[in-house]
Amino acid sequence: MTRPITRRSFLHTTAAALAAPYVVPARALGQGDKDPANERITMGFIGVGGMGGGHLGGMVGNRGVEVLAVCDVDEERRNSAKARVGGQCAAYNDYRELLDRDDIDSVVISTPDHWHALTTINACEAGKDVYCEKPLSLTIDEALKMIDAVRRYGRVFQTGSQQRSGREFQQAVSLVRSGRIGKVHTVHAGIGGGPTSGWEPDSEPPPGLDWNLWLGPAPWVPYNKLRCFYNFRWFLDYSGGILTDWGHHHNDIAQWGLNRDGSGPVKIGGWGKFPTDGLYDTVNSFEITCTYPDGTTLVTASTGDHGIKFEGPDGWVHVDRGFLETFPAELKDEVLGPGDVRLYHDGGHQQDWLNCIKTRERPICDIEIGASSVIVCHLENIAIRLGRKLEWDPVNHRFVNHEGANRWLSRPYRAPWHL
Amino acid sequence: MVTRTVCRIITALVLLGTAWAANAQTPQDLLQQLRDDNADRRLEAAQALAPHGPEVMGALAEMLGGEDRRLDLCARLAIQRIAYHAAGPDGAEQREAVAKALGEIATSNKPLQTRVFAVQQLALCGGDESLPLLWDMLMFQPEMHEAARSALIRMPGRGPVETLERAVFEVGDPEKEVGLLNALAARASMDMYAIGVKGLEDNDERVRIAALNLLAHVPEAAGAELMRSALQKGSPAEKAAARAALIDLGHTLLANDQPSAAQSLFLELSHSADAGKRAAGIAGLGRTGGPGALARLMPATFETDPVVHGAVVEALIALPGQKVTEALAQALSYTGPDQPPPVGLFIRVLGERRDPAAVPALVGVLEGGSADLHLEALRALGKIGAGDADTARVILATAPGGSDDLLDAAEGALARMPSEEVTQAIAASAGDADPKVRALALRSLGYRPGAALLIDVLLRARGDADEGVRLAAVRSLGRLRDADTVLALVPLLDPPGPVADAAQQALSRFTDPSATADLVAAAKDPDSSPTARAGILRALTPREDKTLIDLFSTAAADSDTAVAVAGLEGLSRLQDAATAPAFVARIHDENPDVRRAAVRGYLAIAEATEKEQGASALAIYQEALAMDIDAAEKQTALRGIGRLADVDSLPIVEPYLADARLKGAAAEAALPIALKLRAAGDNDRAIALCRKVVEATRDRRVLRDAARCLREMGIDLRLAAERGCITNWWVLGPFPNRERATKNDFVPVGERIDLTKTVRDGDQTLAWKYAPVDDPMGLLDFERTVARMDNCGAYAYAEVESDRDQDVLLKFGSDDSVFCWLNGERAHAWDGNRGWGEDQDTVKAHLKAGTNTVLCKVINGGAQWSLSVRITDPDGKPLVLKQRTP
Repeated sequence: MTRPITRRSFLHTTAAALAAPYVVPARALGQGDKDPANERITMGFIGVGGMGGGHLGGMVGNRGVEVLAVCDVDEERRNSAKARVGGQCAAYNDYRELLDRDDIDSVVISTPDHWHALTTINACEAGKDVYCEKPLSLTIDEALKMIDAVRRYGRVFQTGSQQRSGREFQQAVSLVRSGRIGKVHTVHAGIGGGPTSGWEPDSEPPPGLDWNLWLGPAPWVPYNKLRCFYNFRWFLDYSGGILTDWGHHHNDIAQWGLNRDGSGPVKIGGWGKFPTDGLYDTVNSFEITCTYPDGTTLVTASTGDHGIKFEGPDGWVHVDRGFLETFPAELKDEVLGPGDVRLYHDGGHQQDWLNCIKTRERPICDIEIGASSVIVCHLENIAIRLGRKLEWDPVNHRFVNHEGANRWLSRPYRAPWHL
Repeated sequence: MVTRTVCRIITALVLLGTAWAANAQTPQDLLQQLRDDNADRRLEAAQALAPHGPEVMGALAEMLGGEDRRLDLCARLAIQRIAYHAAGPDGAEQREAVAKALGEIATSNKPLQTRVFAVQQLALCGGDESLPLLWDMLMFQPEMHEAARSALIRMPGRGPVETLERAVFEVGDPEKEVGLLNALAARASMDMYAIGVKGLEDNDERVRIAALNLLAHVPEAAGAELMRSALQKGSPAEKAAARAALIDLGHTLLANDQPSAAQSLFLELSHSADAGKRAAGIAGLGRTGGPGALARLMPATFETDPVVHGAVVEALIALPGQKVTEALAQALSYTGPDQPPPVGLFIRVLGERRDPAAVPALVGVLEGGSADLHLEALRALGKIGAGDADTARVILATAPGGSDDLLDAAEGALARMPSEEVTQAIAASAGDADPKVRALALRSLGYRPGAALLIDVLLRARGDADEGVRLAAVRSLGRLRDADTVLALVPLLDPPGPVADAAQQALSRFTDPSATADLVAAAKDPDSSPTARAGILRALTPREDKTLIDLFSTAAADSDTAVAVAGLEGLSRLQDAATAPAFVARIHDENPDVRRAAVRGYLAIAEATEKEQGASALAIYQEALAMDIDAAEKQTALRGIGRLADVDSLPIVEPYLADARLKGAAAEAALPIALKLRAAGDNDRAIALCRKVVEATRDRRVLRDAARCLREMGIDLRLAAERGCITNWWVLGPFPNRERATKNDFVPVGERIDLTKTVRDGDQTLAWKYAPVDDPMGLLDFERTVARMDNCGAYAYAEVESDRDQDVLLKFGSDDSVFCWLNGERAHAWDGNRGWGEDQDTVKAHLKAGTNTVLCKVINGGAQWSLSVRITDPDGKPLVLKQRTP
């Protein structure tokens, strides 16, 4: 086993060994297509696979950003990202080395979900602002600790639930929150089903992949190519399946429309089917009903129309990406007044984060919002796993009718990792 | 008789009972069902075994860890359900027995992963009875140490914690001590202080760091002194750990009802030279509250470090207590000798604090502050949502002289201020001499339901001389939806204009049955003007209420144009076949507006009913085409005929193939007819028609289908080839995993491809496959030719002959990423997500005389997956080059 590690200790024990290519002279120039150095936000990327690679492309092209380092436990991805950035970009296997860089202001975290909390908390401790992909966390406890870290260290945090920055979602939620369909009684979140898999024998990890570090705080298992990279989301050790993958997006909009950011449902119950063959172990078909204190229900299901449909006595609003329909049909184009709830926010999700890094305001999907949305997803997953209706205290974050369910609030980290 | 009836009932009950018994599954049945081939039945069995834990655990244990992976998985699922059940309120009696059985699996000779699985389940349902077993694993079974440690963290109660405490200094291995100390930190309590202190005395730095982490979570203020000592004397790593521990300790103390101790710690941190520490201290003060915190935070508003400054703002927003609000509010009017406070910042903070106590100070800003602060103050008032009548009056007096933003903020603030008193003050301003004030007041009243007075005010304002004021009144009446105002809005529908439009929009919001009834009555009222009646009908249209059919039908027949059009439009929205006569009656109307509305409605009915009533829909389409109507309606009719593929309609459709405005829609209509002709064996007519379709349209789908139809009849138009497209491809794939497929080369990209060679990728052996393109735009569809698959990639390969060396343009369209090698050299790369489009990328290239190889790798993220490559000369003229074919 390797030495026990904390990010804090790592910073200093390895400081002497670090030879990171600091690039102050280049930053100071402020030439070409970039803003002057004192206006640029320096950035590091933790995880540069599918989503991280996408974010990297956007940030490399942003004149207000300078990417100084990338990190990935896969050598090929790491080197490819480094080459993509070019210049003096550094590449690290271990994210703690990246966080140790004092010249990096901010980090984009696009690791598998089981790393989100640890990297976010360590980044906050290291004084970085954070953009973290959804789903925000692997457990409820992690989400709460992430809130603590962001607040304790005064960091700017954006959850990667980019639907909040979508004009159609903003209009939909503004209409709902302004009472245009009356008091909402039901919300349907159609998120599609999860996949199943076959079997694949375990094997040695491919060269260049640090499998032990990929697993990090998750229980140790032998490498299996079905577990890694994109497919991690179909394993409960690393993610929550489709319920956190797409559920985080749509439950987030449902929470927003119900004005429940920072809060949540009080009852959760429903059914779900888990695979009985193959390696994937997350739920693949389901219907779960969350009941809020005022009796409003949120039904998250694998079937039905994709998107979020708010239903009230005076009509309905159905929204999905690039899609907004209402009844009455004229409603969707209604221009809301100053006394209404207007949730419009221009500039895009990443740019909102960058703007807030400068203004030190909270972005549109601040940590507390991302946390309460992912908690809904976790509650749904726990209720399905336990196969019974659960009662939840959204203030104290405890189940009140099933002590066994409280054992699911957190999951122990594999030593030496800890929060 | 009675006896016989009773006997029958008893017999029925017995039979029912027998049937139930026959259907009821025993645990043995369920165990067997875990082997069922049906996935749902396996899952059903695993779930149904939950309450039978003690009885079936032995049998399930036998299924674990064997070669049959599916059976192992199903057994695990069943055991998980048993563990969850045992941990729940219904399983208390079984819990110990289940835990014991799990312990037996954990200590069996099963594979390590199976034993670890058992301990993981024990963590979910085990109790103190499992502690000896876990202790043994923790201390004496290295391979099970981590599983036991994890289980003890997760298990509730004092017992597991005591086991961890006992193990820390007996385990005798610094690495494990660290893990155990961190485990204790996750379950920290006051009595662990001594353990933390002892840990700090350890020789191993890693243990001392873990001890600092533990002390950070123990609610003992004395720990701070130990951390300070580590900050001074420790190694660099210990100093860093101590710094973080001090911050965490402050929050631990706060969470354990020691705010004073927490505050003194945060105050200390807030004066640190290190900006990060200072920000953390300030953030902590924001949570502790108290006078000390405020005294520190006020001067900190001058901090220049942006992170610290941001922390100050957040802290001031979060800082509890009305005195904080008062202090901030007082600062707004500070005129002393010292540096003036950042008033704009304080105003924003006061707004975010949502404390009504700030209202007077904000009103003071409106009355005396500079104009640039008015907007901030109004926004803050809007967030607070409080204020009295005087506040409202000040806002009404201040805002109208300013910008649109200011008016917007004022309206928001007035809208959110509660109380009848405020409503009255706003209502009084509705009589102000300044129309801007009147309009602002009236708009604000629209957000204040429940006050009878304001309805009168709004109704009075309908007659205001100023149009802006009238509009404001009408819009507010629409927002408030007071049932008594429905009929008062109706007269505003006439004369036409902005106010009438606003009135109609307002009335459309009154959706309750009584309002609908009022509107229907008004629409029927002979005294209502035609313009008003039309407005009412349009207001009723959005609710799509079929009970209004009669009303709309009557209106549709009205002699007034506006009424008739509104009636026809209302009916059209309902798409009810029974209303067709109402449209028929007007489709030849002399009035073009009426005629147009009738035709649209008529076509809408045809579209809605064509599946069930094709013949009548066809008649409608034909009739519409024969009329003098707009191009848009003719397109609708043509497309309808196309959907119905009526051969007899060809003489009607065909002339439109030459009509510049309608030939696209005509082609859509003609193609299905051509297909039908071909199916009937009338190839001559089908060919002639297909040729006309190809000439008439640029629609890719129509072109493709027409070309295919022609090809099947022996005529190859080579539409794509004539545009310079590569149409003779060989494809190879799929290669799963987008990222992997992007980064790796699975064929020798620098060489001429040997199409006879297979490619091995994991378990699959892939061969090149000829995939000629029949798409008129040259689109190669990988979903059809390779696989319908997401997150993957595939190759397309072609060879083209050039009669000379020449510069060319390569034009690519792809869904999603495309990478191209021309003669073994990278010619193009586009990496990202997109839908296919013609000529999305154009690159310069050079063809050599003779054979040129074109290799493309196309990556698919999700859904559609395609490629097109077109070769032109440098001026964009298509080059029709000879291509390799099989």
